[in-house]
Amino acid sequence: MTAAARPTPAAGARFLDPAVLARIGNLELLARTVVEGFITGLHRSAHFGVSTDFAEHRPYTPGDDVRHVDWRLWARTDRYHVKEYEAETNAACTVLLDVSRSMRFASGGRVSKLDYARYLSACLLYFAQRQRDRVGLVTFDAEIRTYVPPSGRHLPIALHAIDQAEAGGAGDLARPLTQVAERLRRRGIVALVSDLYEEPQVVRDVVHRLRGAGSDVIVFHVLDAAEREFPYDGPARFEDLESAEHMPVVPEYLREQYRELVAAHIAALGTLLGEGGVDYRLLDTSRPLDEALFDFLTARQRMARVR
Amino acid sequence: MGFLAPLFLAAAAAVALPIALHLLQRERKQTVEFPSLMFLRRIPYQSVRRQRLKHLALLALRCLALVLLALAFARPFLQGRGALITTTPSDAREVVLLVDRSYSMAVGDRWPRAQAAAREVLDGLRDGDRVTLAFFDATAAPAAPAGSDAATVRTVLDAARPGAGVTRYAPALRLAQQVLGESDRPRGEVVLVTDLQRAGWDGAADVRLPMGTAVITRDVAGDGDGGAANLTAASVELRRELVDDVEQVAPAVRLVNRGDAPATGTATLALNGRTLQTLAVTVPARGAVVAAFAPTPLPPGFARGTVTLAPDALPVDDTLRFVVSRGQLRSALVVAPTGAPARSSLYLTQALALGAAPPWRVSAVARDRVRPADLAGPTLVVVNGTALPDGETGRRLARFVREGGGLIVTLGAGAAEGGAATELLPAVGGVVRREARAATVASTERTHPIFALFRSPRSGDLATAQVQRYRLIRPAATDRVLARFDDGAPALVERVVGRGRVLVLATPLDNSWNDLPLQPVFVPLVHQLARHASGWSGDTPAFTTGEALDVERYAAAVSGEGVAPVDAAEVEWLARSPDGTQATLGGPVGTSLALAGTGFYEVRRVEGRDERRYPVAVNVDPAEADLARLDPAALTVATASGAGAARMDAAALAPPAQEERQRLWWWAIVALLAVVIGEATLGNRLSRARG
Repeated sequence: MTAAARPTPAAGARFLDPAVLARIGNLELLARTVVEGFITGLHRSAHFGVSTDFAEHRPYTPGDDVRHVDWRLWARTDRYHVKEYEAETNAACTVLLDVSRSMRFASGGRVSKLDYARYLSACLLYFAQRQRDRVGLVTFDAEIRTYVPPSGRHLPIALHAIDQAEAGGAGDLARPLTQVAERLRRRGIVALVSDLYEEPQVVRDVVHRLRGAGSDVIVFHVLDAAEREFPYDGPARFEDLESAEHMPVVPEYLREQYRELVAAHIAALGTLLGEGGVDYRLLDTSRPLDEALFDFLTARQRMARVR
Repeated sequence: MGFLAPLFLAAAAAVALPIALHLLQRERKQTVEFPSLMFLRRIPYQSVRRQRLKHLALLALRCLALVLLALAFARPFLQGRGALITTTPSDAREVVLLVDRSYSMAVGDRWPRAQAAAREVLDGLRDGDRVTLAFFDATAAPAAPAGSDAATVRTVLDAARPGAGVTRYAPALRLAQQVLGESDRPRGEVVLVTDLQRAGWDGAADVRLPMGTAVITRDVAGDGDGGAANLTAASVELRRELVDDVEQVAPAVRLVNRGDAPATGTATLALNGRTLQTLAVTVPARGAVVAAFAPTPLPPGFARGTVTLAPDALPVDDTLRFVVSRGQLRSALVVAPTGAPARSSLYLTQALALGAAPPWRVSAVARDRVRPADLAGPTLVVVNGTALPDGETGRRLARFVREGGGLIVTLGAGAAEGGAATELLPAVGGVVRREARAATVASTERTHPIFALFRSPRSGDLATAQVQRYRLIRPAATDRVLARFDDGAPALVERVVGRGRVLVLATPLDNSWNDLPLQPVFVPLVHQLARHASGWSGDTPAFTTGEALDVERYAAAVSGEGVAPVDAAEVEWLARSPDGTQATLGGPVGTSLALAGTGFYEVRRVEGRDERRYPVAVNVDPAEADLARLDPAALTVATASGAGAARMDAAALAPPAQEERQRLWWWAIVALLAVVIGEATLGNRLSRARG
């Protein structure tokens, strides 16, 4: 499997709408529904993650599995040789899930940002498990709330932790993620799922710290459509979900300036993170999860080429 | 500031509409939970505030537009602009102190209390205040000149006593209106010290005090003394009769009890100071009785009579005075046609003899037997159906009329011309015969004293009489036709000769030419003709205070001299009031005497052969004895200035005229236009900023 063979999202299976997914109570079932559907759409082997790339031959020695004997080479040379393959990557995949209070936001009947992030995290972890990767999970707001270290057997624990995750206190990226960076000693894939209400420079610094451990970092920026469009009408008192501060706002007069500021923020994030070699993906809570999964797949493949 | 149509101001309440909408919109402002205010905080807050301020300005402009519209429709105008340039302190008052001095103020301790209340007002005066003290009853006049110092006013107040007049609030309030209208003080105050009699206010007085005038009523009537039994001798009627040819009078006095309890007492009749009779009387609560005294022979000349009641709470109205004289018994001479049956004038003589007001002593004599001496006694001569006496008798008759005698001539078969007739009678034509269809009296001078009695419906119809024959009268220009037949011919003509009157009837007062004596109207008609011809104006035994008396007419009436002479004004009269003051009447001042106090006035001619002194009895007006109370609010409400009467010259104009002159509504509309333009500009700017 190569990057050239990467399927387009349009060719993917019919991903379910996040609002529909919200009706599935079991996270594992949800993840399986999404991921199996995604893979079916790829028309690929179910054992996608296992490396089958040929490395070299070596002479058979008693005790080797006879299934690995290269019979074609025996027919040509009349000697028993065993095929050697490239080693399985077995990368550690860690999802960093932001559970700060701002993630509770939902508008217009959509799923909340937190729910969307939870589905995404569950899918990512399930998908990684299917690749035989070790899976780990960190939930955080201003502190690390739960930490499930990467392990091949930790998927149920991680899914349970995701299931139990609730929007907590005020958010902060720098402090908890610096701690995470210190704990991730082995290289792997790190997926950061957050609404990134932080200065782009701060985000960049944190992400670079994660990359410093050699991990491949994907940043999923989860935003509700209302956060970008600001579709409010009539004067209202706006309350900050995290700090509980109030502010009287006449949306008609602020909308344009707000949109510009948010767009500039997103653009700055994309630019700064891209310059640092970090994948940045903006996710709208109304869109299916496939785009996120493709990005993850791309990163997984990059990892797979690393011995 | 006044308004022609103040109801339109209510439309200004529509201002509440945009404000309410504004508030509702603010109410609708709800809390929106938002993930982070990170970006919102970066937007300059002032811009939001400025937008809001602009909104408030827009709201204010719209409200202002509505108010201006309502104001313009209410047609405002400014009042009393002169008040702005006064030099007196802003709270200086013009106090008009009106003190009731009607005779009801003599009840109990009302007068001392009134004085005390007035003194309190004087004590309460401040620097810059000006006080005008006025006593009022039926009239009102300042007792001290305007601007007098408090000490002078106090002296006048202490010296004053209740009078004999009746309470009338209207003249007093009109005086206050006049004083306040001329005042330059910014505040007006009317203090009314009175016992608040209801009888003094008919509610119709057109008095409007200047706007903002305080009307303060100081009630000095004691608790309950308004309902106490109070017996009043209200009026007297003198019933005359002849007993053995002696004229007697039987006074009948009407007694009124104004109290809420029955009153018992006595009524004593005195003539010329001599007590004659005493009656015990009981008058029910709020009722009246007539106390009839027995007939009493009249002394010669004028007799002064009094009816005195036992004293009660209000003594002033317990004495009723009257004047009675013998002269009221009149003689009449009926001249019948020569050779006619003696009974030909029976109807006439009998009808005259029936009269009681005045009683007539009638004698009938045939034309050819009339002697000049017969004309010395009577005050009335009736020539019935025959020619006027001629010769010396005729001349004597003419003189009799010129000197004030009354003459009634009824034209019959023997009417003659020449002699006295030329002076006394209009031209007389031939006999009109209406045998086929009898003539009737078709039109009369309904307002004339003779016919006033028959004016109202069912009180006698002269048209029922059938007249077969009458003589045609051709009245001169100075004659007055009082009645006409249905063919337009004069039926009754009046001619004034000297001081006397002549009434000429075109048909005789017997039943030869007509059936008039058989009609019910005959007796009253004869009495009316006799009274008018002889100048009898009825008994006037007494007057009430406040009346004006024409002494000339009064003397003529009570002396039985007939109508007053035309040149009466040239005769001078001397009048003496009960308190002894004398006044000269007549000439340029007229012969009218104002009767202010109670008691007997006395009038006499200054010179001439008439030496008689004519007494005039003056009593209080019984209406004042009614102590029923008036609600002071009635006065305040009735005098409150509705449309803004005015103290200053600017306000002398009627409000519509002021409004028309000032045209403030026009400026309101101009301001409205400016506001609307400003609103449109601001609104445009705001919506552009929003878009």
